Amino acid sequence: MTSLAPTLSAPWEALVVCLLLLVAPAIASQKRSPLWLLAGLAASVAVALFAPGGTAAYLGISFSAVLHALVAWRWSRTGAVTLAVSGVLALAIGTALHFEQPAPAFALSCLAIALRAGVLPLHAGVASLCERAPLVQTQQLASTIALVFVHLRHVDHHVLAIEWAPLLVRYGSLAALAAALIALVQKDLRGFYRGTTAMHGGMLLAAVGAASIGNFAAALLVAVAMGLALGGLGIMITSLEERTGSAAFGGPGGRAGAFPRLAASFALFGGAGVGLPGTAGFVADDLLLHALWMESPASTIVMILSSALLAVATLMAFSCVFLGRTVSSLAPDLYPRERVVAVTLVSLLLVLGFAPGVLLGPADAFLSGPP
Amino acid sequence: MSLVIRMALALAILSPLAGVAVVGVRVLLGDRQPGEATTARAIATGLIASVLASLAVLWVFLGITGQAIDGDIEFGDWLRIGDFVIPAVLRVDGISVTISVFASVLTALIARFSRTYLHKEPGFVRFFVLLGLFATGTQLVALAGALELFFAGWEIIGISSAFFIGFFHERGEPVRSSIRAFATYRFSDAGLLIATVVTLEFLGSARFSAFERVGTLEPTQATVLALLFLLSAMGKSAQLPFSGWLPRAMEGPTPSSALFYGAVSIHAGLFLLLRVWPVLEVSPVARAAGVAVGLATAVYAAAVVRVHTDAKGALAHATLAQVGLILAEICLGWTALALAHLVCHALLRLGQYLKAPNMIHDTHRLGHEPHGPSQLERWAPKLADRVYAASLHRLRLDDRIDVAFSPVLGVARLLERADRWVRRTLSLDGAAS
Amino acid sequence: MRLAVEQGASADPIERALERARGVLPDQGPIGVFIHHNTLHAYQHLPFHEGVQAGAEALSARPYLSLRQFRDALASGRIDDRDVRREIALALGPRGPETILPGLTRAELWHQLMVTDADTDDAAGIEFTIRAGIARECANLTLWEACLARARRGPGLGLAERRRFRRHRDVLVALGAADPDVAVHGELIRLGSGFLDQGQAHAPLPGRHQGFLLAVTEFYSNGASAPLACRGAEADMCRVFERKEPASHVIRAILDDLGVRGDDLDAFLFATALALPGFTGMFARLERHPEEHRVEAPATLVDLVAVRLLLERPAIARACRELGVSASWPVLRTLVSPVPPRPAVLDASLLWGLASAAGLGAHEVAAMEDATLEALWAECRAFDDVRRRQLFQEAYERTYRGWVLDALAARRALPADDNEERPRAQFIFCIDEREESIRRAIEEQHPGYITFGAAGFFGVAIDYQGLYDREPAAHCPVVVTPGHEVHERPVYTDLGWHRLRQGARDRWHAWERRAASSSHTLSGGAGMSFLLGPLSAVKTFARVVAPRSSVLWGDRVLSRLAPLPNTRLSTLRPEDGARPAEGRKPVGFSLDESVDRVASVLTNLGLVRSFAPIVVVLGHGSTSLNNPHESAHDCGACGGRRGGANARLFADMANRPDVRDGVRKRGIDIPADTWFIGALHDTASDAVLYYDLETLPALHAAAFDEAWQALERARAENALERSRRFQDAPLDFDAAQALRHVEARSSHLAQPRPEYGHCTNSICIVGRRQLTRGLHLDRRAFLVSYDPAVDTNHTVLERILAAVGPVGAGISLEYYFSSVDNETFGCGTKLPHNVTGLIGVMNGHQSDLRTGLPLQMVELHEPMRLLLIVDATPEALLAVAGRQPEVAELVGNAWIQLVSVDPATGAMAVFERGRFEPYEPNPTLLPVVDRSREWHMRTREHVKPALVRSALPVSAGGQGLRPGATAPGALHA
Repeated sequence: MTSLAPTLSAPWEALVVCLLLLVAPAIASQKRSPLWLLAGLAASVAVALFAPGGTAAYLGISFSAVLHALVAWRWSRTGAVTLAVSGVLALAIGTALHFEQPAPAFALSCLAIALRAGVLPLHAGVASLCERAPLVQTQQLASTIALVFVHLRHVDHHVLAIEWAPLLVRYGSLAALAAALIALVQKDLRGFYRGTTAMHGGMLLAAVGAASIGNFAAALLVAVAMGLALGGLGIMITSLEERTGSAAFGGPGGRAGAFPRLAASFALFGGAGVGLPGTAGFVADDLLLHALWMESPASTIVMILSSALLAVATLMAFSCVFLGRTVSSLAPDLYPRERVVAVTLVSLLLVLGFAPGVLLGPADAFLSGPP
Repeated sequence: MSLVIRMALALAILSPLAGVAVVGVRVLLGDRQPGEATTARAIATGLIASVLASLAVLWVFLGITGQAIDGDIEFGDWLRIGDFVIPAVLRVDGISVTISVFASVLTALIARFSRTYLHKEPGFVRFFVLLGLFATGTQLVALAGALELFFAGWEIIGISSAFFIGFFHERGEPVRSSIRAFATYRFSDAGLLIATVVTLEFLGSARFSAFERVGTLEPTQATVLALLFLLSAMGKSAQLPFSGWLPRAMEGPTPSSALFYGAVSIHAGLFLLLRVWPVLEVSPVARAAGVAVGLATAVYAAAVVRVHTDAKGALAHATLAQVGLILAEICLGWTALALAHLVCHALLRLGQYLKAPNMIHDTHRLGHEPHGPSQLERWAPKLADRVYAASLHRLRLDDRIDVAFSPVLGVARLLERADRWVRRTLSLDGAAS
Repeated sequence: MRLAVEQGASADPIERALERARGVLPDQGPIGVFIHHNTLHAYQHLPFHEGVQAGAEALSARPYLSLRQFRDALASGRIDDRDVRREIALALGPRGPETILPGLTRAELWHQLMVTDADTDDAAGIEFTIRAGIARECANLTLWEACLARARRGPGLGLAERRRFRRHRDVLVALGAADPDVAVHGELIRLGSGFLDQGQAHAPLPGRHQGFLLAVTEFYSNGASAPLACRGAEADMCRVFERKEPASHVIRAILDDLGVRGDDLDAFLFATALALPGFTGMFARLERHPEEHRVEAPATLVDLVAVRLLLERPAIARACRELGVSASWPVLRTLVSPVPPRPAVLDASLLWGLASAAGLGAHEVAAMEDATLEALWAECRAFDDVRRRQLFQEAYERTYRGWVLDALAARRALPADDNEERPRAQFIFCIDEREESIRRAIEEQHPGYITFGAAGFFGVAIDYQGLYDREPAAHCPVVVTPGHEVHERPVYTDLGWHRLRQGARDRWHAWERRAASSSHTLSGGAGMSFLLGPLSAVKTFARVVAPRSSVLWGDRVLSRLAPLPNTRLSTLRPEDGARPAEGRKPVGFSLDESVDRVASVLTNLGLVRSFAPIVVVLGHGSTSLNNPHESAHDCGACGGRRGGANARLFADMANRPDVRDGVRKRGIDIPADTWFIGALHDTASDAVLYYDLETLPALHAAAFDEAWQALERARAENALERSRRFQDAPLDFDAAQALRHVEARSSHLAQPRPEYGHCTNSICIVGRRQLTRGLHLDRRAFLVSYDPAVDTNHTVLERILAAVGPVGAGISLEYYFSSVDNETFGCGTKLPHNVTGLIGVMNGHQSDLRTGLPLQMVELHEPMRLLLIVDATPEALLAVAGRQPEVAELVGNAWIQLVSVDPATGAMAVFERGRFEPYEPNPTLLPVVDRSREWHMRTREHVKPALVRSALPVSAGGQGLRPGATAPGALHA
């Protein structure tokens, strides 16, 4: 507890991001989410972020995972079960922390993150969510940020973390490369979203690995940028599919004429996901690469290549869906509420891109300190 | 004075971006798309402010009133975490000021041209937003004092370039071309990104001023670094073997072709090499490679020009030939000559690109220039035919890249199949997906 | 050529298929000279709608505007709903009132299908808008539920499949393979433009004198490699080259190999030839017109198809291998999966619309019998999209026709002009509809200003060689072959200066040419960069920032430093002059020939008495920069060139005393105090250039001054009227500003719309100016002067219709097609155009040659068939048309709309369904304005006809403004 200001502001900032991501789908979607759910999620995330002890924090995470699982059950059993498993894991970590067993806590926490972020090949659940319930996926990304935060704060200061770091970094970057390659050969928008998510999962895992040697801020920023970019992308994909049915790449394309704002937002979120300068994604990539280099130069190069591949995949997906001979549509472009969500998330990405210190300064101080 | 130059530098970079932000907010939040007048006014204001600011920087740099300023100008840290710093530092020196003024003036000129040219075009707003972004990117590249900022600008140029190529997206060819150009950019940008990280590790800082300490590096380290920079420059400046995307870039509207592939963007790779010249200087291997690549590209492009039948494609290759020459000049160490050549050449091509559709009119006015058989055709007709064939199909560069890349796609398909299997096996949702 | 489509001239199936393709391929020559022609000329032997639909089907194009565009026109009042119902009634006849659904007759059903948005295929969109509560169906959701339930039960509407599989490529793409055409076309475009290149590249395709097939196969024999997707083509190419196999043999072998036999062959080859229509069409065109191709490269369609198939076969084989399917056509074409069934939501939406119109309730819909529903669907299927648009097109034209004919009738109701005073000045313009406004602007100034319209070559068909032209070029309609050459020569006193100037000019041009060409080379590029880079930047900067002033100053400096020498035309050829050398045409006209030309033009015009002191003859042309389609703005009657030389020549002839004597013998007395002046009107910059003013007798100076001032005011007024259509010019311009604006447009490098060309054409009125003087026709009417009183035996009428009918139809139909489907029939937006081989434009770095008109030229156009209104009786028209087969074809097959206006009674009759039907004009009150700018300057849209009082003759209520009174003051206000 070095000084008061950072201890207050880091969780607060994380909370703001998480809350925005939690409510964004609820605002954007035509279907109203029940208030109790949002309140429950917000409360559990807040508990996780603010709890002084690891046990309480992981209890919060576990509770939010169960809530997500309940919502997801209707659409995707695989996703729901995965979320529930991660909830159980969080419970186990909390227990381990309670009994002061940091080593199993760290291992389980990494597993939980991998499950929640959809790292290959543990991605079945998240992939199923991407496919069937992208809005739930967006919301669970919010609590994934909290999970990473809690992980960095409570379990990542163990010696095991440093021992495991090279493994996690290498594994994460390879998983990212594989996912980027998979994203490159997808044939529809949901498939692309799955691939992107898995690629970011790999990145996040590598970042969490590299965090143990002092790069806490990088890992947190990667999580936040991933949450915002993928969340935005998920909302845009849902909005598009509500209007046009499923978007296969061999289909008509040419949607930019009917939905220019949707196309612009999609491009911005997609760009942020692959490190468009000016967005949080750019800084996150930069930080991550520096962090990775300390651990493994080869992994850094792999990560750079997978990011390049994903960028190409993103442009290809964009062009397949939005470019081409203009197809008119009866459905209108983004509604004001959807636009507000898009602009808010984009602004957040831009703020973090232009002035990353706002989040990272306090966060680094907060997280590098003793738990 | 320092306040003035700081303001001017910030303005040069940020004012086009401010124009983009104004238009962008209206696009995303407004009820109607912003009109032509609004869009053009917002972006043009930003561009003109950028021109004035870069002229102000020039003014101060030359020391016309008061002390001349030369060197790094600090804007604090973009990001500081512990001892890791991404500095927000700009650099004022002969090269950066030249390029900054040159790029801002040409961009503003093209904006004026496009205001008329793109009138009533459905993509008007998109065009101007991209132009504003591009202006920010070039200013950032020109004025950056450290590799991180430089890379940000570099990426922006690449992305806006890809979108300009795909501007007429209703047809398939522009979209295919834009993806190809973007992929080439991203691949070669990896060189710059790695170089950035490496520089930071080797020299402790990614500032350009840190390159003064380049003598402390091992020769291999310096060579690796220089080769990475060279790779990146080759991609951006369409040197062999990445030349395939350049003719494809002619898919965009004429003014963007003029600005990007006649004047500014195609020379960005050369500018990068000028910027990191200290590294290149100590690495004879990289310089030799650069000379070889440059000359090979120049010869290749000059041969292609001879057989090219379309106005813009011929111009693109004529430009490429000179870019190859300039690359060789830089690597031979004639940096001052290279800078002058670069600027003069860009100015010449800009005008030629803008007048490319006038080709028929000019032929009517001037008549044909008779082309007799070349020396080669006279002395070795068989060889000349082969050269013709190789030039006409441009060495099949694109196909070769596709062939080289096809194993990657093969792996990707395998992985995709594996991924599907995994998901299907673990799925609890029945037979779906 | 035209009849080949139905004849099937050849027994060889390959030749037959190619012959059929030739008829459909774009028939546009190298772009340096742009001639307007009917894009679907090959279908002109069919009735309009059949021809248009067949042509569009062959090219997969749109035959008419889209339903959405028509519905917008209906909503804006451009189409009158009564006309829609009228067309339905005409089309249905007695079947109209039959009941289809309770409360819904067939006519009403058709009307519903035409005017409502019932035919969408956006199922997801419907579902979304209903969920969101913004769909029209939300007005009655119970009915919607019922319709949805009913539609789900079936039977469905089930539209016919629109996909067509004629080539391997169609099937492969449908199966999800990469399109083999991408690689094949890329290669074909490079080879084809290398082969056709007229001087852009330094080195053309080697061996191109042997023809395309041999040149290409030799190219591959020399070690070229085929594109990745066509790998394997090299071996075939080498074999063909070694054995010198003829193209048809190659084609036959490949077709055999691909399993294309029997009935499939025709469709396959036809589709293959049309797959890259621009280049293929250019080959076919140059095969027929080798004179348009100056280089030694004999182009034939069969060669191109052979090369294409040589490349395509390995590409198909490769794609088939990747998919694991057989490349044999009989097997391959069975592999396509059927179209997924049409979603019930779409049927339900249509049902909802029709049920609402019929006033059916939810349970009536629910209880609907299968048979009733099926009958309804059958009716919807029969009245398909194309049929609906066909009726819309007719209504679109009918509404417009009504406006024009009613306006003409109203104009005719005004008292006739009985003014016997001598006219103050006469102006002869081209019949071009772009000159309608300037004619009106002149007439508004004084009743004594008389204008005429004559085809812009003014009866003198010549090969003209200007002072600095390298060779003579035909200045006359394309169907005419000139029998004379005319040269522009410096006057004797300027000969020395001319030689000096020409020498300097040639050296300068040679230098400029060399500089341009060497700046592309390696060393030259470097040298030129340093030498010219900064200079060129200054020039570019000036041209972009101040286009008008920079051009103006350049011209001013040049004309000060090196003024043009005075010149004369070689008008006269002595009767007994030496015979021209073998193969050369006579230079200049003999006296008799001159008398013929002058007399016939004056007779055509009806200008046989009351000559004014000054008669200005104005040809027209258009100046623009960066515009490969510049020639399309020039004078169609001069074969896509400028008409200045013809006007000058005509004036020169008419001024000669000996010619006047000859003309007088034919009953046309040109008084001695009448002087003709030739001039050129630039339709882009609205500049007027006068010729031979130094020969103007002093006697006529004052009269000319007045005419000149009238033209000065008129061209400014014209510029104003034109600039209202340009959205980047403000509507509250004054005339002087407008003039500066159009001058800037014509000299601007970045201007894709220097002028709108024939964009507004829609009418052609052949008759006395009295019928139309004072009518505001909004630059939409070709105005041909013709006086039936002078033309007792209809020979003049025949001459005029034979010329004007095909030319007017050519322009109007080219605009029609380029605007209904700009991507297929036109050449799309100009902005990415890239001149290739000096023969045409492509999009971007490699695309097919784009033919037709660019979007920027047709964006304002209302696609309609030309409305030809003739001041002659139906009997006279039938007699004349009977003698002119091309006119008969155009009129008989309804490719133009013909209206007869009886010269004596003014009774109107429209040629419809094979005969003249009387037209009863609606007695309308035309809007009356004092000056035409009051009418048109309030909007940028097309305006309906109105009466302009100041342009009317005094007797008809005109104001009789004097020059220098109100008119000029108002001009400069």
